[in-house]
Amino acid sequence: MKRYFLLCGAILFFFIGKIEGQMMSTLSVVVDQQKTALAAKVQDGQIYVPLDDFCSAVNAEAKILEENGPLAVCRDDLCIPLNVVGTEDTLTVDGLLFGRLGAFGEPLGVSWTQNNGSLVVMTGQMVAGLGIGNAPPAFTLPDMYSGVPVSSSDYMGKKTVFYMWASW
Amino acid sequence: MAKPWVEKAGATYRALLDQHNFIGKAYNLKFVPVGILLDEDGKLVRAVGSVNIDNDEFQSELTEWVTSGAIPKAWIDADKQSAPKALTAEEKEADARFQLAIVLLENDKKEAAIAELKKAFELDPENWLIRKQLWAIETPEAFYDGNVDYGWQKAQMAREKVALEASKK
Repeated sequence: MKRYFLLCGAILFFFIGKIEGQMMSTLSVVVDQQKTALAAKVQDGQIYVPLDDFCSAVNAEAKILEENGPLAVCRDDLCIPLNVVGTEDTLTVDGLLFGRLGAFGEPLGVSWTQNNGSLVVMTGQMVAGLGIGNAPPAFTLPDMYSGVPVSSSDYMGKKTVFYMWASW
Repeated sequence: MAKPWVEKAGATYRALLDQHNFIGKAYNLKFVPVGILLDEDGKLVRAVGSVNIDNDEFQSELTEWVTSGAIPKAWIDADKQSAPKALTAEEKEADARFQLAIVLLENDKKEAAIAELKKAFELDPENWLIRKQLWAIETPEAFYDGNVDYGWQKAQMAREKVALEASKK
């Protein structure tokens, strides 16, 4: 009887694992308007990024604080510890450590939007120029009729004119 | 507010709303109309700045760029390798008050919104996005009854100049 129970448990576990795997979607990552080889994961509405590679892309570093201290994302003197009591900020997928962007992005000054399978990240460190050849600051604004957010990056691959005007 | 104008123009292009002046802030722009012209790689082909879409010269330059892909000489000659300047403390406070005014307006608190916009205008008097928004809210009849009354705007500028000089004395 006991053995039978254990087996059921194992099957159940297997199924839960399967469902979670299916629920996870993948986003390609664009940093400061440059495509990267990084792939972010979305699970339960939370965005997870491959921690080491993402950190180096935004000029930060993931490291263990002190000896046996918490894992943290650091830039200069600023460190944001992950997995502090009661939070689950990391995820391991196929042996690769992912960090929850919401846990450390904002304090680092990183902003992001999600659209059409992409995670568009602004490091907040780029001083975008406004002359010929520069990639100016990206923006996302709602369509006047539908309210659907439209990003300047949605028009990549096309010549685009944004004309900013007011009725007055 | 922009809807009637877009409809009257029979616009075939997409219209986006920037209620909170996101672009003005990110690009440190203080006036409209402004053009942001990007190539296929998302790179600027013309320095971000004043554009009059109805201007014949601009239209022929635009046609030249779209059809040939080459950046018109006039745009290259006028190019400025500038970067958006960081906002000063006054500009930041002006923006914060502008944002507050928009929220107040959304909550039908017109008088409080006007008070915030007035403070914002004093902090950042060169910012036409703030200044004209204030005018349009305070004196809607000069803006939303048929055509925009540019005579009123001229007179208003003169009135503000007098008030500014009086406050300096």
